[in-house]
Amino acid sequence: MSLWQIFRWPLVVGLLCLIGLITGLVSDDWGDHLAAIGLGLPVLLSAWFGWRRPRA
Amino acid sequence: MSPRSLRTWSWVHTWSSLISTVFLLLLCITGLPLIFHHEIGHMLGTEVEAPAMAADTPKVPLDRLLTTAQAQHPDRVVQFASPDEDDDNLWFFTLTPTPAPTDDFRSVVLDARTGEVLAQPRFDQGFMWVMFKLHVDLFAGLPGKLFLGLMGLLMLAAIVSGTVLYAPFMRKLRFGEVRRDRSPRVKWLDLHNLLGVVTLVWAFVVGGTGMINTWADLLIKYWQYTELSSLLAPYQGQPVTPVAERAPLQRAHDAALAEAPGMKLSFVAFPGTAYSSPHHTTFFLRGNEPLTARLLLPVLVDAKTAEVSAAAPLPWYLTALLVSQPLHFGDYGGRPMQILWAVLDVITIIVLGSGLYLWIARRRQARAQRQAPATGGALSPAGEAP
Repeated sequence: MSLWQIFRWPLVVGLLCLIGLITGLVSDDWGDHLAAIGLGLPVLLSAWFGWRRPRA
Repeated sequence: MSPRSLRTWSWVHTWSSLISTVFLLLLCITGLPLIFHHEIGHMLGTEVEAPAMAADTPKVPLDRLLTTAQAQHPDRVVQFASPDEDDDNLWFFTLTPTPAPTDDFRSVVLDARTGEVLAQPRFDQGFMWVMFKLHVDLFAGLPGKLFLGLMGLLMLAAIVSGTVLYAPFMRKLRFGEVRRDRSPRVKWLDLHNLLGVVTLVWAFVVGGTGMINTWADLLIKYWQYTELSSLLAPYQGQPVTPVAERAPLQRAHDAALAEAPGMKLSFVAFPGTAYSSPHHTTFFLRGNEPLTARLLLPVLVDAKTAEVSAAAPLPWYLTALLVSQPLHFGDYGGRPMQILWAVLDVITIIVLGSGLYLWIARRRQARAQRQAPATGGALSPAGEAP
């Protein structure tokens, strides 16, 4: 796999996370929602890939 | 990646994390209750609330609060005073043996409308205090802080090198793929990579801002030294303005707030303390917007005359420090953010633990291989382990 293929999803996750961290500082309504999405994504991905069992 | 640079990056990743892992685990574990310190305070009953009264109940002059707080501890000096962030009917006073920074402090909480003492909570003892001290300075003051800052720096090095190493290890895997049908070591390697890469930005931001926070004492000292020295020239050789010679606090307060209409008081630093000068009562004002509420404007009021001497925005490095604090605490997005902060903290603990496990397992295998070179293969970066 190319470097782009390896890093494209981590890049998307990282960018959304960063956007969430910053917008949360700037705004208390929409910013906090974006922060919840940006920080929720790594948690969801961890749970999804970390707990998923391959189908037997 | 050439085998040589792979080896170098592996070396950086292994050693930066090995040295810091124990301390990072400690920081993650002690940080967990600190995320919820308000909630835990409520549960333990250490959080103080002002009794309900009509909304327009007038407040007593600040000097009455100051005198009452001082009377609780006549042998101490008042270092700081602040209205509660959410309810300015509550005022906190911090009293210490001298104006110098110390862990030996008492807190008095007063009702700003009646001037009565509501509580004298001890923030310097109990479970949360131990968690706080272990997290901030290992009970070792400034050297402890700077040491933990160094561990934070190692964490950043481990994150960067880990990201570089992510590529060679993931060459044959899809994003998020965890090889559960292989050995536990392969499974935990994949989990370590997955959890590490998705929490990367968060961990880098929390680690980096935590490191910046360890420099707070030094930055404030530098600020005093550079920005305040010219201001203090006329007072050369004078001792800290004695309490008896100080102008009424309420007058100083009103003069400070008149300097910046629309701003609110964050806290008051009394003469001689770390956040003020020996001859000024410094009022730190804050804005009302989510971001400006973090940016403080210090207004230095002459302690004797109650006249404003200076009001200049903080220099960039203290502004950076103030903005970095919420990014470390995760206290700016309500309950959902607190919970996500805690979960991400737990994921980081798993990343640290699995990293340690992988290191031990690799050493064990290397030793086994030395004894019986024919069996097993190294866990190669391309993920071709048998």
